[in-house]
Amino acid sequence: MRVDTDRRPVWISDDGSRPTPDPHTRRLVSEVIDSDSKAGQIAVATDVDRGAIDTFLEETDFESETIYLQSVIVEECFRLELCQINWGADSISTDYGRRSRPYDDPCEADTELYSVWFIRIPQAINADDVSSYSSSVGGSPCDDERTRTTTETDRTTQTTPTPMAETETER
Amino acid sequence: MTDTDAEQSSGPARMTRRSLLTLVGGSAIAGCSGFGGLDQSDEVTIRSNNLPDIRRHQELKAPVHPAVPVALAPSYLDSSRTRVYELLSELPIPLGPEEIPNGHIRQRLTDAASDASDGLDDARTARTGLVTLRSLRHAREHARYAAAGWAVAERGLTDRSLRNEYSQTVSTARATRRDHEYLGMDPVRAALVHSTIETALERAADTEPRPQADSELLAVAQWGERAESAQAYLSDARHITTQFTSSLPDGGGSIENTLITAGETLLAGLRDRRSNLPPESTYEERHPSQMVAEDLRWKAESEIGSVEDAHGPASAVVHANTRLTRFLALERIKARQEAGELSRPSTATAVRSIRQQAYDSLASALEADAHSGLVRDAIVDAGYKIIGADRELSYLQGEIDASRLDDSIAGYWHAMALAHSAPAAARQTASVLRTE
Repeated sequence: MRVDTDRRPVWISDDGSRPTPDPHTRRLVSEVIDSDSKAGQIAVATDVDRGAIDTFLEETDFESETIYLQSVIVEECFRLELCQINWGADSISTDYGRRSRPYDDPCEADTELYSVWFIRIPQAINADDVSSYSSSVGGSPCDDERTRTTTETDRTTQTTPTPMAETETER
Repeated sequence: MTDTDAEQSSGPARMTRRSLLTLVGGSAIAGCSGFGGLDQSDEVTIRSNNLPDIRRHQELKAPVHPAVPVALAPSYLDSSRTRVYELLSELPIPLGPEEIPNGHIRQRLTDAASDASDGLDDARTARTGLVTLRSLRHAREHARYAAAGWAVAERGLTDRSLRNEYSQTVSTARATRRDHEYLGMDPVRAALVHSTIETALERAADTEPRPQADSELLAVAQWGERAESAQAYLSDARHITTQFTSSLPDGGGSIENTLITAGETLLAGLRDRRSNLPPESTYEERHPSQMVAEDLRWKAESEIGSVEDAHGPASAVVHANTRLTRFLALERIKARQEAGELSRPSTATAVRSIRQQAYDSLASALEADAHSGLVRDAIVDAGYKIIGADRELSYLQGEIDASRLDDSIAGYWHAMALAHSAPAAARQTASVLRTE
């Protein structure tokens, strides 16, 4: 879905107020959703499919799972792919690949979108314990080397995390 | 035309708007400490607007152009141009959203078409035949990229036919390389020509991994570019071979053994020089002469591998000549250090003078030596050093400490050392070739 906006289409808010436009907007914003109450603070723009997000959140058991929410600015003619996510008790890292949309998909080369990712991590992580975040967005699609959803270190489970289909909102 | 007819020496003469020197803190003239020419520059500053006037984004042209001592046929160059026009004519004009709705992919294709046109322009103004060939080859590659990409949208082209075409060209290039005859009369000229042919055939025969494209259409475009590139390299190699052979009385004779033996002799000499290098000097302070010496030493030592692993006997000789030039340049820099001739410049006038000397030394090297082909090949890098030094100068603004010019000064001294050493290296290389 596409909305002409320069503000994040999904955000955490006590009162539902939306972040104001900022010319220095960070290109990637992350949130750790570790409870039903925090999930309840997720606000979305009016033109975002709230139903799909709510369903994904309702299917999450925060006793044993965590949602990692990332809003990434990407050029309109590209789609992001989640190549891998690694996590521990105090750290989360993601690596995205970038793939062009099909040639017959209308888009403008200089327009940017918000690509919003809800990733279900099969481990309960306390958001306050997470002190290390890292993310990278490569200039090419995920390849065999980059497509790994687990690491050998600092892991308590080998279950694959579940990414929800990305939600896109034009900036 | 001969390959170097159109070339003229290019220097900094047109960059003379800044003419006055300004020395702030002028009493602190940089001195020389003897060995290494190390000097104090802490209190010396120079106003950048008194330095050579090089604008930050000014296009800088290489002062030395690679060449091959063969007369290229105008009809061959015309056929390459025609090939570019034909490929570009396959594209709709304009290529707009109606044809390719995806703006990113559309831009990649239009950029490639534009680059192809630029390549044609570059070929028109190229100073040597070899640069003309290179520009036309680039133009063909870009034009084929655009044409193949458009063909995906227009008629569903897939990579299969392009991969087959590429594979066939690679096979042909390998067979051509295997059957190549090292004909010649003058071994110096022959080494330069056959080295160029070896490089072109190596590029044509060198299989590359699957293209890394972010879209299926662009992946097909890349296969098109790759197929065209291999074909262009192969065609160029064949044309140079034909032109060279036809220039030889009675086709000349085989000089393959001469090249092989000379390459071995030159390589042995380089290994001796490497093993006899004195221990590296240690310095307390960063200094441009030290930077040049370290750079030359590292390259002279490490690049012997390119002689050992050369594409063929001619390339081994030509690469050895370039490496020999570096060893001689290193000796020259060391000698100048010990003579105290390399003080860090403390005035804009001194900087301008060093830069002018660097340009002049390249021009002199190209004009003075009988083995100008070997000299030219050995100092192409010197030209890039000067461009890099000029680029560094263009970044400087306001009043600067003299030490901030170190990178530029090192570049000019490096180029000068190569230019002064190249004729002697060429004479040694020619002597080895002619006595084998």
